[in-house]
Amino acid sequence: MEERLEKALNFANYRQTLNNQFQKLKIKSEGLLIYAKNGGSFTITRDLISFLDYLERSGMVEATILDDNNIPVAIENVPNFLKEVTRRYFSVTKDYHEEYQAIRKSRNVKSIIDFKDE
Amino acid sequence: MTRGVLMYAHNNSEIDYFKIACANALMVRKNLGVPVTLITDEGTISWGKKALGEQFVNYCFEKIIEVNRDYMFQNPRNFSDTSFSSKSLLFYNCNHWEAFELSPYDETLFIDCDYLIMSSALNNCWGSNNDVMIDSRIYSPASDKAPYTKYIDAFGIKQYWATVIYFKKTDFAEFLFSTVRHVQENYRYYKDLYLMPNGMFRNDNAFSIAIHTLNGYMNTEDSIVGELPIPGLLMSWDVDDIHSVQGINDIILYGEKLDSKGNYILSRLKNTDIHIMNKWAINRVADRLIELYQE
Repeated sequence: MEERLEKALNFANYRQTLNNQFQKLKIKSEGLLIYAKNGGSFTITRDLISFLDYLERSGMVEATILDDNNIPVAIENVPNFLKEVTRRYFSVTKDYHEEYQAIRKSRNVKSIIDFKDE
Repeated sequence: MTRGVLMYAHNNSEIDYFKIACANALMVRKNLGVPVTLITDEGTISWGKKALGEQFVNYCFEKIIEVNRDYMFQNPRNFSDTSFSSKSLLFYNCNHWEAFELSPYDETLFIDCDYLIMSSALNNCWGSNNDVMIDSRIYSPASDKAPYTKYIDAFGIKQYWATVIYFKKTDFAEFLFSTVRHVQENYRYYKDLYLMPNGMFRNDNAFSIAIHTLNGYMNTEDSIVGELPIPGLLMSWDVDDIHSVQGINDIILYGEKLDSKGNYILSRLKNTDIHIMNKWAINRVADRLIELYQE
């Protein structure tokens, strides 16, 4: 095989592994952003945080909101719930950022996988 | 309110589901912190105790329920160990509808023994407002485009995956499992009705049909069952393989590239649950898993 083509294919393989590992990391983080509360499950998004912030600013302490399965869930203390989900959001995104950077800086398949020979 | 995990293990002539269940029970205990009940048969349990020791087996499971195996039920299935090896073996899966009655728990996570629990994500299920939760979303370790269908047939019945099912002991959950039993007992009829491509009985299809029926024969966004509180099920196919188990909740996989037989992409998974369809692959690393997770 021509050397340039071989290099190109190696690069394609590297990019494929890189993208795949990014995608696994994204899904892991999405999983960690699912938060269970009062029998409901809520995916923590910027929308949810903004909505809860709006409720808090409007002076609402108790509220009923729809969860991921569109089931109404009563939240007895909106400010506390907002604090809980915000804390979780930043904890997950911080870890996501660190792991993302580690993968991004990897220059070959072995380092993307962080594989150490036994 | 009692909570626990329920698994089935029925060995065939080559695959030691029992050993896989033991390894996974230890993983459940480590990551979810709940007990595990195993449903099995006499042949499987006697082999398991002989191979692994009775003390170890009792350590893995809170309860072992022995059921009679229906030897008239023949469900041949092709099992692959990567794309290079495939065998037709018996697949005993006809008794999953019994899970509702047999589960000793008020809240049950009913999982396939090869769905390896490497995170605490499923702990979000406990105390759910849903009577039953089951997932319709899957993805693959080798690609963001999982080679799957969203529907079980040309008519568009929504596909659910019976790999993980959360249920409570409620009337509705009982309806669902009774309907699954009905579908299983009349599988040939439903196979023809929904134009399912092969004759092998699959619980995924039985649950999908049962849910569709109980939804009033409709594909609706407001299904009577909820999706699990996870982003979807990660499915490693039987053409994939396990490269190594690096540590607790840390595994490296070979995922076969889409449309590129025998070519793999490496993928490292940490703290992520995964369904391993290549049973030989899990059997190869089962001792390592047991060694890591045994406390």
